[in-house]
Order: sequence, then structure tokens, then C-alpha cells
Amino acid sequence: MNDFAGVSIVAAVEVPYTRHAPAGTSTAGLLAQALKAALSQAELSTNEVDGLGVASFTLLPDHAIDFAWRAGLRVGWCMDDCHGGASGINLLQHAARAIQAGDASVIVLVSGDHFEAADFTSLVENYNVTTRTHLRPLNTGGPNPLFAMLTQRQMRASQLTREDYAALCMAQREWASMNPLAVYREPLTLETYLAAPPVAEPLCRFDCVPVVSGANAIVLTSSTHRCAERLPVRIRALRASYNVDHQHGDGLVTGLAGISDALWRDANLQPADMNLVSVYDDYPSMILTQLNDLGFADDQPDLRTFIHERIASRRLPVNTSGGQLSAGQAGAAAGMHGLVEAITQLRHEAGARQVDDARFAAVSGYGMVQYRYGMCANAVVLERGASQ
Amino acid sequence: MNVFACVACAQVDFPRRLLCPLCGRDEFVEVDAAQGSVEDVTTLHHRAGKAGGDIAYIATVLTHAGPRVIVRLERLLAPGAVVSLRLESDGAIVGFSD
Repeated sequence: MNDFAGVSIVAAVEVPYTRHAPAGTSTAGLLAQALKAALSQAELSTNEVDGLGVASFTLLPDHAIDFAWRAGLRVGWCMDDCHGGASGINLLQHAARAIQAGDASVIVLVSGDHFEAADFTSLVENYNVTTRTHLRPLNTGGPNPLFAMLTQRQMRASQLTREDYAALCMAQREWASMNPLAVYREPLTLETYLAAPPVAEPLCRFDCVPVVSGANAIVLTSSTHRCAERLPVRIRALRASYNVDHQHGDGLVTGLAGISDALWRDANLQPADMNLVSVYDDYPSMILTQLNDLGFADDQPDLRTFIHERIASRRLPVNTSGGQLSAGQAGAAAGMHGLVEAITQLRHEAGARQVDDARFAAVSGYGMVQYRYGMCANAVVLERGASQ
Repeated sequence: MNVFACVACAQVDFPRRLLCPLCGRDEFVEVDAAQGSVEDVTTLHHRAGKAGGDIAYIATVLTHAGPRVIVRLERLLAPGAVVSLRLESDGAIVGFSD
């Protein structure tokens, strides 16, 4: 069964991201804010919720069921997700199937994190056993050096320069300037980008996501639910591919390449039909990789042309929130950020950055860095449904 | 410095897996991987969440035994350089050029 008939996304929210959260901020508190805002948007009460999914790195020692209790939810479907940048779409996949199977009728998916400096260091040094055993002793300070080397490989393979990556960052900053929730909204110039402090060469500060505290949430219901009468968003197709190459490759191809044909076939659509795209942008190189794997550059002579003629020109609206690179990376919420933005656009509620007549959107997730690059990739094609 | 070869299919991997990704068997033998060639190298200037810190040279090295490993170089070397590899007591793999 590859269709997602009978399921509607009826709310998508973001708790404002902050670089320096006020004293007293907690991960559970942010998730609760997201839950409350999502239910308010869908005009639901907590006692109507019968399913909950949670993605968070810093909620520990609590899990989804603890959060459900603290939030007063009585649920029959409850799921923890630990897929990082792929968590939003992974949760969406499982939640949609739960609704189709009748296991739940109203599911809220929440994701978010609040980081103190020590929390973040602990997370990146103990991300998994491989990181703790083999990368932490190198004092890499997280995955930046790994993606610096991946970016070098992409630069060699596709004849790209730092100016090309700058164009991606500048384009997203331009979108961010129209998003009041983005933490960085001031214009980014090429000169500023090129003069930025290096992090891990060739990556500079603007190539690395700013860590923030924040949360996101979405709500799914059956399409016969009263909530689905107003501005529903439907799932046309969803595919996932995890651990596709066992870390034997160069990281320049993700699992998306292997599922792209099936995704578009399931959706009965093509990349050219998409009004906007949200791709997981932990680094600019991964924006290109995912778009390429999904076929968005197939009609372009090369990736440089694709960057400048399609993305920088905004003919293809990519990461219209500003993406994580400008809006911030709120831990596990990063895996839901692009999804929330796409749903917001399809509901025509994106304000100044609204893409005209947005009807279709593609969203991809990527992440869970193992030894050299991410293990997880997934993608969903969404459609604006008809209000009744 | 060792990597791990599946006794059933000879697939060589690093880090060691629980089951071989090719054939699914769980028996491995250690294979010497004391040398390799630098494929990529980055100069690390800044670590997230940490002020200051020394500059480090982090590299991807294709070991002569097959697998790629992430190492810290003792000094900056260009891609293509042949390095010897040493496993430190804390688990760090260090690459050095004689």
C-alpha cells in the first residue's frame, strides 16, 4: 500500500526559535507550547488526541509516554523517534499509517530541543557509539569536519566554488528576511560570506547551522474528521531509505537517489510540478545533494547552473523559511522544520514569503551521521487539499 | 591500527560491525591497516559550543586494507600523501608522515 488516502494534515506550527532562550526554558516546556499551538490551530482539545509522536534529543530521561502524561494526553498510539533530520518525515509516515489502520484518529507529532552549551557538546560527542568511540577522541567538535570533507568532494566532483555555496546561503537568507520567526534575517552579502570566520575549511560560519532552542508540531487526522474540512494538506507519496550504502560511499549520493523514481511514480507527479521544496539543510552541500538525488537538477547542465539559474533566482523556491541555515537548528525539530514550512505554504499562510498558488511541495529529510555522513534519507510529496 | 575482515566473504570494514553488511555473518578477523593515502583533509578552526581550542587537521584516509578512516594528522598534508596510522590509547587514529 503506497497511497496515503484518508489522511489529512490539519495543523503545522513552530514555537519561535531563540539563540539564547530565557531562563527557565525546558525541552518539555517547548514541546508543550508546540502541542498547545498545534491543537489551537486545528481547533482541537487535548482530550480529542489519541496519538502522540515525539522527536527530541534533550527530553531524556523522559520519553514520549512521559511527555504524554505530563501534557495530560490519553493515547492509544505513542512513538519515540530518534532519526534526527529524518525524524519529521519518519514520524509522518508512521502516523499516517496508524490513522489508515484505525489505530488512532487524531495524532500530534512534536519535536524540539533546548540546549545549554554543555548539552550540545554532550550530544555531538556522544551522538552514537561510533562517534563516541572513534570521533570524540579526535576532538572534532561534532560533524563539521566530516561535512567539510564531503563538501570538498562535491566541489571537486561538480567544479563548485565557495561563491556557489554562498549563493545558496544568500538565497535562503533572502527568504528568511520575510520570515519573522527566522533568527537571522539581515541580508547576507557575498563579501560578508567570504570574510566569515572559517569553521572547518572550506566551511565558514554561514555554512553551519546556528544552534537554537525551539519546537515544531503537526497534527494529522482522518480525512473524515471535522478538522480536515478546513485547509487540509494531503500526502501524495512518501518514501524512505536508511543505511543505503553502509558508509562505503562518498556521501555525495543519499538514499533519496534510490527512492526518487518510486516517490514520483507514487505521487503521479514530477519535480517540475512542485511549487516549492524543503530540503534538510544542515550544510549547503547537502541541499544540492538532496535536490540532485530527487531529480530537481536533471534538466540542468550542471550543479553550478542549477544553483544560480534555479535556486538563487528563486525560480525554484527552496527552503522558503530561510531553512536551518538562517532560521536555526532546534535539535530534532530540524527534522520537522521544513515540513512545517511546506504545510504552511500549502495552506497559503506564509505571509510575505508566500509562494503564489502553492499547490504541491516536496520535503526531504536527511541525517543521523554515522562515521562519515548521514545514514537516513526520506522524502514526502504534499498537496494542498480542498476545503469543504 | 586494525580493520576487520569478515571470515565468510572477506568484506573489510571499519568500524567493526555486529554483522557483516554483505553476508550477515558475525565472525571477523583483524587486518593490519597501518598505512593509507589521504583523500580529503580539513583544517578545523572552531568547535561548536567550545571557545578557543587548537587548530586540528582532520582527514579521510583510504587505508591500504580497504576501508576509509577518519584521522587526526600530526601536520597538514595534501590529498594523495601516504601516511602511517597509529591507534592512540584513547581511540584516536593519528596519521603521520615519516
